[in-house]
Amino acid sequence: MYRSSRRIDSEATDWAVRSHARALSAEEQAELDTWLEADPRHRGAFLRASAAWMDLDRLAALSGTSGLAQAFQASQPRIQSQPKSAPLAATSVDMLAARKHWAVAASIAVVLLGAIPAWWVHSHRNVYVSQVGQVRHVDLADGSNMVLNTETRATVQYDDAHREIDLAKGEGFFQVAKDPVRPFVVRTGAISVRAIGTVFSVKATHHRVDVTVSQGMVELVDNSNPEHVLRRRLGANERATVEETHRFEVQHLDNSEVSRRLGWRDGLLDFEGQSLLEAVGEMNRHNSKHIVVDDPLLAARPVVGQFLANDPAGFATTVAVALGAQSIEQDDGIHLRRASGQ
Amino acid sequence: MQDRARHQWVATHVLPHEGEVRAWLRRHVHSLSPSDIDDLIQDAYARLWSVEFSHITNARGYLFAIIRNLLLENARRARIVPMERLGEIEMLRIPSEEPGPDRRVSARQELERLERMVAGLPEQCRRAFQLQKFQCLSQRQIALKMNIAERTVEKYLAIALGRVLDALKQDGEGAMGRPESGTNGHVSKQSTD
Repeated sequence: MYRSSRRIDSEATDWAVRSHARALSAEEQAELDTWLEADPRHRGAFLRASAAWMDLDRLAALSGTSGLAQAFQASQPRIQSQPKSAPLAATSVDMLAARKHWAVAASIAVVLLGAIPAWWVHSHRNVYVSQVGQVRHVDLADGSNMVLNTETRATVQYDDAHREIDLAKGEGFFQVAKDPVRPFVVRTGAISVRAIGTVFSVKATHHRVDVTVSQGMVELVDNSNPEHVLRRRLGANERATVEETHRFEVQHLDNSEVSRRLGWRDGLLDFEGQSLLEAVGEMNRHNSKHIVVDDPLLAARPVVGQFLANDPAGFATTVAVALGAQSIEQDDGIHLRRASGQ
Repeated sequence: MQDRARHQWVATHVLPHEGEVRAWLRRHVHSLSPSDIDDLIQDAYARLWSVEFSHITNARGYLFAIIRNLLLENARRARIVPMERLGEIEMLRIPSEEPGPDRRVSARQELERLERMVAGLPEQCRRAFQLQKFQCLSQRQIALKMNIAERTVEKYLAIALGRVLDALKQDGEGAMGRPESGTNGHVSKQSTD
């Protein structure tokens, strides 16, 4: 049956936006696969729309460095000086705006040169650091990408035979492009997580490493003895907690728990009845402006809801209303206390 | 998602030439209607879906070759081009050189075009698009911020992307020089219309 290209384009744009802007649910993925399978022109239109969508990131980054982003925000048609390829300006831009500009920074330089210089592909080592409250997206040279949560430091080293990420501290989410020849390894603390093509996150705290797999499967290896495989297969919706001593526990999570744990990638924190004290701890991890709970009874109250991780004032206000508390801004942070008269 | 690298490759190496290919088709295969060209372009991208792209060094030439093959296939099936045109298509030359720097779309022109596109969007739609691409908010954050459903955000973003895709179709017209405007003769005149 002949279908008009216009119609197909319109469906393709919907799918391109959905699949690039967020993770598809299993049903949606199945629906997309069926749609793609139905007609080669669906695949063509989807490829074209996806490419155009990704290309917009490049343009956004260009405009970001040329000041156009501000012009856009003010909706004043205005073009500024020559676009620069240097992404360094991004550090001074506000946190959220900075994150994707950084992410595309590397690819931008390449696009402007027209081709990827060979040395860049064969071996390069890059250090990526996210500041407090920053969530940083990094597109890697092989098509993989990683997202760094607040206060994270990751060193990426690629060569012909290896793809290695050294996660010195913090938390990272990795979407690994398949490459059976070059395993993708995240080293942190006492262990390494080895993957071929999969999606997982790794969180390193003082004496513990948390590995959560959302797609595919990874292998956990002892850093002091690479032959020592701690666990051959950690699969989708499984989470391993590994102590320094290599003692580890594996827990099965349901889908909603996995996506809740990964909400930070969207700058969102999801609380489902944790105590206010815990929730505030998590908020404080993301912000230099801290929240202080002055009352132990209040601190024990449960918090439910979704919050922007970088908005402590919004969190405090919402929680204050929900728990009948008062939120008071002081020099040392935002204080939450029981409302007077209660 | 495993296709990100492919999407990126298409974005970098193929998209920039789509306008030129369309202009070339308009100029040389006069029997094609605009929607025939749209069909051909979709078919061409479909060929790129499974090809081992890392081996392709000249994406522009490759794209032209695909288009030419598609024209021939279609002609044989007489879907678009009448039989007598087969010979003509076979003789069609692919422009051998990239357009010179003056005819290539510059980053500045791209930005101007994007800006025009954004300015032409309905207000809510424009806001969602700006938050997504320029402020780098996620869909969920945009939904929260604009106080609308995530599905609605997706719809707005899809509208914006649709405009971008439409703008791509116009590419060959402005910056690359209109067919009639007498270019440097990269393209041999084989068409008889």
